[in-house]
Amino acid sequence: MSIESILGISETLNTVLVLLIIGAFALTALRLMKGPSYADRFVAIDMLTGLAVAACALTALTTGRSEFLDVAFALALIAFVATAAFAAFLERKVAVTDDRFRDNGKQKANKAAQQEAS
Amino acid sequence: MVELIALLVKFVGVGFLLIATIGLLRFDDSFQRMHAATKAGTLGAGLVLIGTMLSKSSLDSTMMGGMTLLFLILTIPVASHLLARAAYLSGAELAGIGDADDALRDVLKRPEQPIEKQAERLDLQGMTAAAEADIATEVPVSADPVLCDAEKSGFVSLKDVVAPERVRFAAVGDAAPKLARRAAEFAARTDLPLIAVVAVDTGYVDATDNSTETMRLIRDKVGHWLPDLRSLSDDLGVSVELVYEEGDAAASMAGVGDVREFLVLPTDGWADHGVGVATPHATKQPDGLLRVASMHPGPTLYAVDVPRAGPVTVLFDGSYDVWRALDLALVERLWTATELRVFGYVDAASRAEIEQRAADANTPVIFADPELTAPDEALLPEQMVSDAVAVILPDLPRPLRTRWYGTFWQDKISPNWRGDVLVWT
Repeated sequence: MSIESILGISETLNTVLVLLIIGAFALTALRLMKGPSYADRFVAIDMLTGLAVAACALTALTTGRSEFLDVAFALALIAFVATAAFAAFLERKVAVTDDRFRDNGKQKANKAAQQEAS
Repeated sequence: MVELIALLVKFVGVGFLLIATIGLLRFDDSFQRMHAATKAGTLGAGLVLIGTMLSKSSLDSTMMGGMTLLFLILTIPVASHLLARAAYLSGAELAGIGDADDALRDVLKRPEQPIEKQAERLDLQGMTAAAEADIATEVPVSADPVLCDAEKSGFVSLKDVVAPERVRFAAVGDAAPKLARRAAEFAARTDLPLIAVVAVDTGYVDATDNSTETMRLIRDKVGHWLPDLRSLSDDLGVSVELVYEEGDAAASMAGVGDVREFLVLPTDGWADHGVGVATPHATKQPDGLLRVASMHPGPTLYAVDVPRAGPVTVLFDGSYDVWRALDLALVERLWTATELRVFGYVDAASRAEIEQRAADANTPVIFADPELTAPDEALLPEQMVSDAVAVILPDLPRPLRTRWYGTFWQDKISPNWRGDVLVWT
């Protein structure tokens, strides 16, 4: 296969790349649904935005519209803020849940002490 | 030639992205997944961007692509570090790493179980049979007949969890001395120590034109009723610890966050203590009273200054918070309740349990007609609360401000209703 013939079908190849990325989207969405922990879901969302940036760049090529690169840039910006917000949310959730469960811990300790005494 | 390199780079990039997603699916724990997603993912996205820039080879797309690339490289390490830290703190599972190998073990405090598992246990209604059995065996059966029937009923007895060890009272505004007496009477009746907190919101003071003068006014005002608070200990024979704090008033009122602290707050006012100095440097009047409940992990009572006897209404949603608050109200006899009214969907098992607990507390209980709905702008229908002295809520009405465009917050519970509100958020 000559270089020219490969370049001749580069449009088609770009479309193939987009299809591959769609496959990657599907796999990531699977992890997003499966979880099981909040952290897993947030990592999957982070990955989704990374994939979206790549998909935008490829769309800019297949459609010939360079505005899609601006979209990719905006997505990269938003992804950072979103991940930071998710992390903050997760830490705060820990603090809240922790407070509620501190007393269960105490109870367990008390029970253990009682058992030792008896 | 450039075209060919561009194509190659794009293919390698998409390959890395695919590998990253496969890693995301197949690795065992969140941290390994994060390792796949962030490293291979960034490299993949970066390579695709470089390939696009090469293919396009125009100045504006190279600029835009270059900026995106730079931004990705700058932010992804920071973002994934934040996320990894949060994941670790949330108790996410560490596959293949024992406690001894965990290098952060004594550095960062984290729960033994992932928070999702804990959240499952909080959800009393959706509790699976297994979790139910788990809790029933864990809760020690105490001698108290009212609440500790865990084995028989399948419901968690919360008495050991809720019993307050201290009463904390936050003094705000003119109603403070009267309300302090209520808090002290409760402390005396339950034989608990009382902490009276006088907080001054320095944020408010700083937002006034002449902060020195405002501070003097507030101190003057507080100075007037401080002796009243002191005399409580002699009158009622409770030990009163007086705390005066200037700074973040909401945090001072909420205390250090002890679940066993029973917090008594007024229904109105704020730590400007009603001196009425305008705040040209702030957009709104300072108002943080309703936020205090969410900062305090234990029970919070927003109390009116005169205790009355009458019905108590519960907005029941089956949550852990409402069960705890209900237990506290029945066991500690917060109010002289002539009747307990339950509004909201109550399933048969919860209904029997509430009837049992109310009977043990000698309080008649009625359940609202299931057809009855609350009006749009209120949490409870009028006939349920019109003569109630207190309501127990799963959450305070939003927004958390005592006055919102002229509407007093208790109007959102039911229009023109005033009384005690107990929440445990």
